[in-house]
Amino acid sequence: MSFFSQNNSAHVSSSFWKKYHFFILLIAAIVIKQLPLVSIPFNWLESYFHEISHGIAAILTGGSVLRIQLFANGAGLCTTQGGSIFVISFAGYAGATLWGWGIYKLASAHQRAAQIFSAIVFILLIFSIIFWGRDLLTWFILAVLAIIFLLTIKLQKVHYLQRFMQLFGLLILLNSLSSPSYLLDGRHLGDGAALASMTFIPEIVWVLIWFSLALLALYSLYKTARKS
Amino acid sequence: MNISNSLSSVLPAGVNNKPTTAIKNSQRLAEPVAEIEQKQSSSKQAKANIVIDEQAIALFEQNQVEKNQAEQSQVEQNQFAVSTQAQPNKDSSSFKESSASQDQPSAKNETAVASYQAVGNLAQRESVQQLFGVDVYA
Repeated sequence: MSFFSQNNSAHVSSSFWKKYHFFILLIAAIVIKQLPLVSIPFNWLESYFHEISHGIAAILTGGSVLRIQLFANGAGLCTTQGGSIFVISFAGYAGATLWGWGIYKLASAHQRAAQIFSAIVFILLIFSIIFWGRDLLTWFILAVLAIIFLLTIKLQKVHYLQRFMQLFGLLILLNSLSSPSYLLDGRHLGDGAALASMTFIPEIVWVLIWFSLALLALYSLYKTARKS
Repeated sequence: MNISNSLSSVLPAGVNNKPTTAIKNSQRLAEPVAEIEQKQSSSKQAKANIVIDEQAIALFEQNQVEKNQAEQSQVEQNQFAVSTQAQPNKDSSSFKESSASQDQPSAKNETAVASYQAVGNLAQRESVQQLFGVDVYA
């Protein structure tokens, strides 16, 4: 009788997790973002994916990355040479959204996929340390991120790796949802200002586009979670 | 007679000698005299030159005085512009105090210099970026 009740409660908790895991992870991500010290590495994570998106866009449009600089407060700089300025400027926030969405999606698809993707991000971080990091602080931040991803790969239970990767994906998405709003400070600086000066479309429009993309990505993940 | 002769011979000779020596001396002094005359003439010329220089100095001094007055009036205007309207009647002591604190730049001037330097740095940065064809994305 007790065996059946235990089995039944495990089944109930499992079905509860399956049903609401997206919201549980989303709440966990929102809580982590509010925590003063814990949130710092995750801000670095979003900042890194933002800058690496600029860099990848530069490489894809025929340019090259000269330097990636990350700061302790979550700010970052990517110095490029050549390539399409429009694409590179747009790729920062849009790319971070894509990274967040991709990490969550791949981690949800298969445990093995989560493991491979985690390894790819780790290699990319090592590559960034060697070729694009030029200062001590950037090296330190990239090393911390590399260690986080290395730890997730080394996890004994791959199931937890999946959950961590999903959490990372949601944290990156939440950051890309909120960070474009920082551009609306009246200083006319950053990617939005660069795009506005290129296209004569106001900065707020670009901010709204990035915000909408992040919202759309979040909705897409919610729909995927509901289906599964 | 001999004596007189001798004397005469001597005297005239002596008398004669003296002038001759004097003449000789004068002849010796002839060159310095010429030099003196040259010096005198040159000193006259120098005096004339000094007169011209003095005029120039006078003109220069006059210009400087005018310039100082202009600068002082400008400083006064600036001080009045910077100072608040609460103290419109400045006495001499307060002016002395304000002139003593001229070395300390006002906040307005500091802001102006800082903004100027910022513009300069931006221009420099832009020129460097154009030179190397580098773009920075935040």
